[in-house]
Amino acid sequence: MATAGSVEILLVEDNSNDLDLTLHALRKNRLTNAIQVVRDGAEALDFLFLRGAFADRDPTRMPKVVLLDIKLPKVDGLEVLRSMRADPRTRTLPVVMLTSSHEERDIIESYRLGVNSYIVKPVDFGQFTEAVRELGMYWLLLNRPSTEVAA
Amino acid sequence: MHRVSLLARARLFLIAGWAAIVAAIIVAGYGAWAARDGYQRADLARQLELANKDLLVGMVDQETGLRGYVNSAEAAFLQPYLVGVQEVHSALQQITSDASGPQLAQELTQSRTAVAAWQAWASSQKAGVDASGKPMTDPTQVAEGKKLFDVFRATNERLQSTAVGRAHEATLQAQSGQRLGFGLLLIAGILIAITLAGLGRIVNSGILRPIAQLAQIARELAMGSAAKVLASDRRDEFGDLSRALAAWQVSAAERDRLFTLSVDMFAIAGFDGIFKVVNPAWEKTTGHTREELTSRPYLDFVHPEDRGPTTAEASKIETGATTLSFRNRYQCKDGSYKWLDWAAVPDVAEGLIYAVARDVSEQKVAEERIESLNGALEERATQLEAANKELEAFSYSVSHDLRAPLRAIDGFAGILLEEHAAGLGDEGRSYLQRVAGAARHMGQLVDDLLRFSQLSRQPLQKRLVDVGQVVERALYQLQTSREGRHVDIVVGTLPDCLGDSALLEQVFVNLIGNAIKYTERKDPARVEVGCQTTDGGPPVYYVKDNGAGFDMRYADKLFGVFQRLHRSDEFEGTGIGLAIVQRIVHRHGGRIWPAAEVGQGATFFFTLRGETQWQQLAA
Repeated sequence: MATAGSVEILLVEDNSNDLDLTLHALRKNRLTNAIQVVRDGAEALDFLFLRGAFADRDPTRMPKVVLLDIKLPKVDGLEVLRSMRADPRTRTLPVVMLTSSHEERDIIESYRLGVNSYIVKPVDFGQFTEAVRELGMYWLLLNRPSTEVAA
Repeated sequence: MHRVSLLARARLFLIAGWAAIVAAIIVAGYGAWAARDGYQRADLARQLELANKDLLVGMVDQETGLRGYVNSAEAAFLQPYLVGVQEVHSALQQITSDASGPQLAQELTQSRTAVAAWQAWASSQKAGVDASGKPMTDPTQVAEGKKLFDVFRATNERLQSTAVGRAHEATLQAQSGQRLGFGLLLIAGILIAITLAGLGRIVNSGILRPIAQLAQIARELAMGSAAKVLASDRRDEFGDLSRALAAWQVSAAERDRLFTLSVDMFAIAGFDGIFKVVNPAWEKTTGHTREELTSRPYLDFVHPEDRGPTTAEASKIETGATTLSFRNRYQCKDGSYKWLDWAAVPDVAEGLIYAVARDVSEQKVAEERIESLNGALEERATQLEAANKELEAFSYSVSHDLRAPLRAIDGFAGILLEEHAAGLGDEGRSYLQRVAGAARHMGQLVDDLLRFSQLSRQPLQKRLVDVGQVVERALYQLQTSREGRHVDIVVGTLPDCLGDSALLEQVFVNLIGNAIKYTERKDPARVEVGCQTTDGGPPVYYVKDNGAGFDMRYADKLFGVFQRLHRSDEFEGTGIGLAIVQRIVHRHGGRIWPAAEVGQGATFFFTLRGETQWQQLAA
């Protein structure tokens, strides 16, 4: 879970069931090295922009990928994405929408705001585990973060 | 018909008449002149004749006197001689004053010469007697004198005869000239009379009578009591006039018919607010007689609420404005009101308003009904829109919130099965598997339902579609479903169509997918995709299989959402596929119908456009 060291994945998820299942799937795929979990959009922005509870965290440690649910309390996922893309510090940070929504308007809006991937969480747990494995492999292992983020 | 103008005819007649009269008068004038000339000449001839007679008398007197003197030598006899000399002298002078014509002049000269010759002889005889103082009885001298006198007498007679002839001839000429003059004057008189009579006839029969007739007809036309005007076949101005009148009568009659037979109400109203003329439609529509309508101000008939606007409209018209659609209510004889729609134009100079009104009461009722219907429709549309929004919100929350717990059920069941299987036992594992299966099935149902509801919200992206390619893509999607099976799939010729290719692909995926599914227990399994074209109708696409088929009695349940004709342990499925197919077909304006028999297979036919649409397109 949240470690003082490097953060590789920022997981934004309010549903505890989904959170446990996602973490389980990540664990199963051995992608648990550094996961920061936040439970709503406001917390996610606090973490990313070093505010509130996260004001003291190491500013050089940025996640390599953000897994973002759309439907979130306080600030929703699309709003978080918009804020990230508006800020130079997070503009190029890869964001994967991990959501229940099949809604086309959500998908279109996400891509318009500059999401990198959009994954609909399947009901089938086997398929879900597979999807999490694929996205982890892609964004953490194959897709190297840009130097700006690394810096 | 060649037109002959009355004016031209009268002019021609006048010219001919006057020319004849002038000619006759000229000739008559010549006759008068000839008569006068003849009488003058006859007069001269008669004077000559008298002078010639005087000459003869004078000569005879001279000769008698001379003879007495010569025979007696007595001076008393000289008296008649001397008188005779005087007479001859004056006669000769008279004769000399007239000498017309060479013959007369010659005869005069001869006569004068003969007179002179005898007078010279007579003078010599007298001188002889004067000298001798005694009578002379020389017979030779007597013979000489007689000879000379005879010469004179002969010339005198010739001259006399010439003068008489001349007088007679001149008299004849004068008389014939007189006759000619009188005759021609008579002729001229007759010609004048004829000319006057002819002109009179032309004026009377050609002008006065037709004018009187036309005036009578015009009077009758003005009073509206004329029988049919017969267009005259005359080829003059009156022909033109009578034809014009006949034509005018026809058009006036048409106008009259329009006025009398029209269902619309025509009225002429004065600026004083009273109708001057109304047509029979008024009586038919309002029940009031013409007398009632034209004896009271029209405002009396207008609904009290409409009197203000009506007065305002009338004063607008009185300033020269034209009204095209003004409505007010008129009271009928039975007390009810009718809505009238007015169009009116003023004749400001005459102080009149020409108006047409139409009974629009029924239209008004219909309009009110349409208005209220429109209101209801708008309300309904608003409700529908709200319902649609609610539905959208509902399906949005379904897609999120309904799936999350299912995912948790399946997910945790999966984790249990994977990581805690040992503690569960066989029965426990089997139950847990069924829990997970049920959750997955429900997830599928939720997904299907969402897709189905999205179908009616998405707009159609219609364009020309290559149906063959669509089927190819559908078959590619279905590859996994036929893995490990042998299915003969035959695709016939498929005409292009106008439609949304993604949705059409869904139609073929569902229909062919069904065909593959329901032929599971057939060997050889056979699926046929094709198209039938019919005369004048849209193409009918079909998907046919030789699978399980179904009982046609339940065909109406096929297309309902989650309606199934097979148990799910026989054939998998949620029962949404055909509902989706039907919705897509309907949204394209087409229809779908099945043909099937239990155990023999099923065929689904569909069109993508209604019959009428297709006919419009074909035409």
